[in-house]
Amino acid sequence: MPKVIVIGGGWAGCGAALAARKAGAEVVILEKTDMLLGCGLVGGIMRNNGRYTAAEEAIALGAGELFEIADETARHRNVDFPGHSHATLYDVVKIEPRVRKFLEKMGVELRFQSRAVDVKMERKRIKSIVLADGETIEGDMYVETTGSSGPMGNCVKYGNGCCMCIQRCPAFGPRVSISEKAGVEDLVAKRSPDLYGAMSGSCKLNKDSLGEDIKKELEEKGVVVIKLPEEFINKEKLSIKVCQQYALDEFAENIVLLDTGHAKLMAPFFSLDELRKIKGFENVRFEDPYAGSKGNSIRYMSMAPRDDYLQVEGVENLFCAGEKSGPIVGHTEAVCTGILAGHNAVRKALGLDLLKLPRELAIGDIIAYVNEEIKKPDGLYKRFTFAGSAYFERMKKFGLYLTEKEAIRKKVKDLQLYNVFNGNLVTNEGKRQHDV
Amino acid sequence: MVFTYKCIDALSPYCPCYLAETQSCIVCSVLQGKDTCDCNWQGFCVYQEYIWNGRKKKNFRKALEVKISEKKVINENLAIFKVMLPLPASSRDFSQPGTFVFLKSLDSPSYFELPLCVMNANEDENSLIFAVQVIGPKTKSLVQENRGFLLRGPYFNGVLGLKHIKAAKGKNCLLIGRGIGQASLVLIAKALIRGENEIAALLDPGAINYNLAEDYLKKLNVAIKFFEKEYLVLGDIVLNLIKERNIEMIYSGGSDIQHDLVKSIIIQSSRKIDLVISNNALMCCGEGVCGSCAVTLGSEKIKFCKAQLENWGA
Repeated sequence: MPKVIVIGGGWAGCGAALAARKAGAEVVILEKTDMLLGCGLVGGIMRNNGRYTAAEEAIALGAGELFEIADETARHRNVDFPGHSHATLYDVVKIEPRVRKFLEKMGVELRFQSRAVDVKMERKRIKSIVLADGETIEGDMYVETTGSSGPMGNCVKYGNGCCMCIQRCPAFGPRVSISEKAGVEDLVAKRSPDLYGAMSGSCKLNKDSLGEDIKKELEEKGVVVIKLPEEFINKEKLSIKVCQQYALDEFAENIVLLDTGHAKLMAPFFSLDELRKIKGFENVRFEDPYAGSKGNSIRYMSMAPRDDYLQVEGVENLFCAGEKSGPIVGHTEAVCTGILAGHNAVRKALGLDLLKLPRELAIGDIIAYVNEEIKKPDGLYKRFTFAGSAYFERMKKFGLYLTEKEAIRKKVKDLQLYNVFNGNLVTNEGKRQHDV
Repeated sequence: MVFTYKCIDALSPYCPCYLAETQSCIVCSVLQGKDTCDCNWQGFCVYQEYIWNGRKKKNFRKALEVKISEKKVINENLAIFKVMLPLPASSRDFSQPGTFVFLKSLDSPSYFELPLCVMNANEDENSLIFAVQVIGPKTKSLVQENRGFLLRGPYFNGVLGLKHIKAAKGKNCLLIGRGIGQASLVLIAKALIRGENEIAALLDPGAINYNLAEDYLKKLNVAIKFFEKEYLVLGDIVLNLIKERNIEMIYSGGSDIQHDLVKSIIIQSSRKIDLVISNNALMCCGEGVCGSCAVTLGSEKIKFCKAQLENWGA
């Protein structure tokens, strides 16, 4: 049985582990903190705009279980908020144990507080991963899903300093770029010629600290939009945001709150003093980042050059997904790239042809499109997501944006890809299972 | 082979240091002038400390005038000094195993500064003890002094493998000291006693013709044996002791030849024994600035005044 080591237990790593396990591999997730889901622990937004299509594609492709868990854990379904339609808001407080139990039940080995810091190479192959305590972990294939945010030094240099976000670098140690340790230079996103990275786009308030009326409305509707007093409007904040889908004037002129278990505030940070001057916010406090008054984490500091199979260029047995695979924003995007990377890792280990998802599918198209765009002169200034901005426009233009489950399933079937991620490649000796 | 190390000054009141200011930090990639993070994690972010401190180094070690309260000339090769620290300097800050300072007599120029291991620290008196082996112009000048010294310190990287000493609890330990190398045994023995470890010591007077750690170790109830000057004999004695006392940690205070010998004995014993050694690199400034202690290991230049090496075989 081939052994796949997934480095990083965020949404992308969970997707990769799921797909690699389904394909028949022995799978280990190395996670530096004490929980799975990474930034997904403070996320919550699924199925908004084009993400709906991508989630349904993943389900039709046979590896949609993580989306189903998010659906089951939803606090609100079919929520509209400025610029966004039909969002599902999963409960960030409840989802991690469910994903953890699900992966354990699948037989994925989860290793927490196991921070990967280096690799041992054999020519162009990774021989093993070195953990911070010196232990080495050997596998046949590796999937890097360490993300691109932090660590502290990057947040100090390109942001407003460590704001104590959910990644908890001071406690669990910094993210290390495994592809770079394997000899592949990282790509770093820019927001101006001399400024790297982009800032995470939302912060979270403790819901119980909100005024009763706002809390009630938020829990009923899932979303509350409050007009900001003129003096608090700061459109400059929009330009530093990583999430271009939320960089709309509505988000600068209003406070947009979403009920994800926390009250997700759709701005990268907000002065607590100013916030408390607004009616209903007199007693609020931050839930994430803890120092949400001053800033948020800096992301896109470490992306690996890769092909459309999600194999890292220049390393024979390393795949990547999530933010590591390019300026692709969001949990849905992380899970979707994760499942392809995990699946292809097993194919590679078995000596099979790798799978490239066709551009008729939103998932296949974004993977290929981002790779084209990032190579253009201003490529490192752009971010991509199913949920908005330029890529969602592209989805609409090319007919990739579908919201009928049946139509999406039919499309996947027509492409001969229905349930393609669901077959055990090891026991089937590599024959694809088609259920057309 | 990749060498892993910590910076001995990280998390101390002396970090960030001159190396941060000159973009030469030994652990932080950003403070080496690179664009992004790829640090040798020390448990905290040196760059953040540097920014919080206003983009400059923190405290630097100042030179203190210390009074000589006792001077014993043991023989023509060896003198022992007790000095009193003026407040607010506290001998507690000089009592960690491997602590050393730079000393020179009051009127000699700065290039007479001599790196010297703290042999013992007395917190009640706020005093420190140093042993000086007479070797060259600096030590000759130092032993002639009767009034006081200019002392710069504390520096912490005098022994390599400090983590084994700090982590040792209820272990059987062997301390080997030869010549002036014996001076480093006392603070190590004290630290090991705090961890309720069983300690035996092997001493050889070496070139100083005197077992200077003997009295101190006896007071600490350390079982002492002596070995003759022949290293061939040392090998057999150590191997026997390893078996007899089920030794789990060895400290070698002496020359690099002695370290190599001890390391080979450990390999011969085929047991898992932690090895701690005295740091014999030539120290000149102690701050990572002058380069006199730098050694090229593999592809990396390691500054031994700062780098607390964590793996060197054994």
